[in-house]
Amino acid sequence: MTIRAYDVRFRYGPRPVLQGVSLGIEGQGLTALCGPNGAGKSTLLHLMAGRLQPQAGRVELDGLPIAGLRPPERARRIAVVPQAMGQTFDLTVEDLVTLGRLHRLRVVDRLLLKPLSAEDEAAVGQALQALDVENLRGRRLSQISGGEQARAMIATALAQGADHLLLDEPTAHLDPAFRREILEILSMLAEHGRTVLIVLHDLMLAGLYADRVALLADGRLAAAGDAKDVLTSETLSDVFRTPLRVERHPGSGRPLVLPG
Amino acid sequence: MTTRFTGMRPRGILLLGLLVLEMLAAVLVGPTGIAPGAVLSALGHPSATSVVAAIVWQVRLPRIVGAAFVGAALGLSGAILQALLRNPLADPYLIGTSAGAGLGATVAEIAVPQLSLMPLGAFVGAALAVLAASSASRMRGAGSVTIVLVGYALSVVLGAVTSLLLAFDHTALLSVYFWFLGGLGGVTWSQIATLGVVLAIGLSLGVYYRRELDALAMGESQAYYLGVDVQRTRVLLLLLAGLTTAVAVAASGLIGFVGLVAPHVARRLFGAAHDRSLLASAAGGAGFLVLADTVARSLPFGEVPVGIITALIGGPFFIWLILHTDRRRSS
Repeated sequence: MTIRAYDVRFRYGPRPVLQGVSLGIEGQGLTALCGPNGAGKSTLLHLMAGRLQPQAGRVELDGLPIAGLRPPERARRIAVVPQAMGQTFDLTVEDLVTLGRLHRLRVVDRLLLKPLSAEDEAAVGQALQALDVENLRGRRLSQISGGEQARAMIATALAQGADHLLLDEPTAHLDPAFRREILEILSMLAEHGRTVLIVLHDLMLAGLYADRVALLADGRLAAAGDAKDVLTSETLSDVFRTPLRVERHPGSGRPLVLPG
Repeated sequence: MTTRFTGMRPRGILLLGLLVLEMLAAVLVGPTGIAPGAVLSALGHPSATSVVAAIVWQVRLPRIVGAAFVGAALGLSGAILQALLRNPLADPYLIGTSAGAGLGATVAEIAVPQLSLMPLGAFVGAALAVLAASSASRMRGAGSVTIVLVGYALSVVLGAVTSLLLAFDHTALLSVYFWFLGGLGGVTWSQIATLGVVLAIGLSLGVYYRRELDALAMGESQAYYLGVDVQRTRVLLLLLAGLTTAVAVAASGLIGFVGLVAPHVARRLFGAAHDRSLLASAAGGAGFLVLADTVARSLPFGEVPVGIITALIGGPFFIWLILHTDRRRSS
């Protein structure tokens, strides 16, 4: 249950994005990947999920090169929630979440126009339930709110049954209430044994929910470790080039990042 | 499991039933005005030697079955391409198929006019164009937009070469022009057999990859993360859609609008997931083309190329469908 990037470098054309980053995520817990715009957060996520290949360095899943995994095998172990849903046609929530089982379909299920196997059906049902979108099952994606769409996308990733859950800014377009709700769900999943990596813009959310934080700046890893060690006013102000202060959340004692 | 299929099976069976009824009704229609009873009794005796049996089995039926198969091929191909290219305006001809077929037919007609090799030439031309377009999709970093643009550019170039050839051969111009308009009058049982085999393979593979189509319609990145072998699946489905179209075009010429409209209607009736909409699109294409061809051959002033009818019926219907859909979405 480890994804580890070793000294990965990546450039889009002449523009270097990552200049030698090593980062591992393992075991249960929620890791937030934070940093200023253009720091390379999403790129690092897509490298660690195997979608992009580093120009130097390597990424390994449990010690094996991630690029060598066959697509269904990879999908069985890593699920990714994209920033936004690429929607051409108007699927229902259930159609979408069912796609999480695609990598497990057997040849007979494919050739016969039959409903899902009992196991797949159960996984889809559990995912719908976990994200509280079961009552939206038959609704089309264009008919539900942004927060509900985000939950449906996470349910899809959950239905994949992967240990690793990687999310690219799933809360970017959401209201504060929805953001907190999504993070609550994710930290609960992390507590139940999943390895969660989430690209987050919102430092306050990172402080409140992340077990570990990795800070990227200018394509390099500025700091990584336990949230309370990384989220200090000194480090943050330095990385984000703006004064930020960190206090203790009165209830949970977690770091609370505030404008300085 | 019950929610998923409630109402879908009955609707699917209804659609197939309607198609069969429509084909049956179409057999009764024709310029020779045979009594319905005689037609139906001839249907039961394929080997009878009467004139009625000959008309039913050698003229009307091949044409109707041919229309159904060609329509199904276009509906299937259109549905696959709209998902693959993430473009609701995609039709089976988008990836250079029609221009390739046109050039192939033109070359065949100019080179050996006495052999009427236009169908074969059309197939070869369309297949080569599909191969070219799909090899573009194998290039590194090529997305669905790349394929659309390459297909478009390919169509323009092939179309220009066709025009160039026809500018110097006015005899071929006329026959190629009418072939372009499309028609099902010349479909033979052997062409139908070929079409049937290709269609069976196409439908099976389409069903096999129906969920990949859903995933690819969401974008290559998402399909990748869901476990789809994006490159391989995309090339395979492009070839499938292209070659199915090529066989249809060889049998019937260029019949427009069926492959564009059928997937839209299918998604409206059965939902967007290809689980339901893919086969419905094929069935809908079949139904639409059988209807259009029956109209084309029953007009009082003589037969009209069926491509004109599909456009004349399909165009306004498509506009209505789009406006209606958008109103529902925004409300």
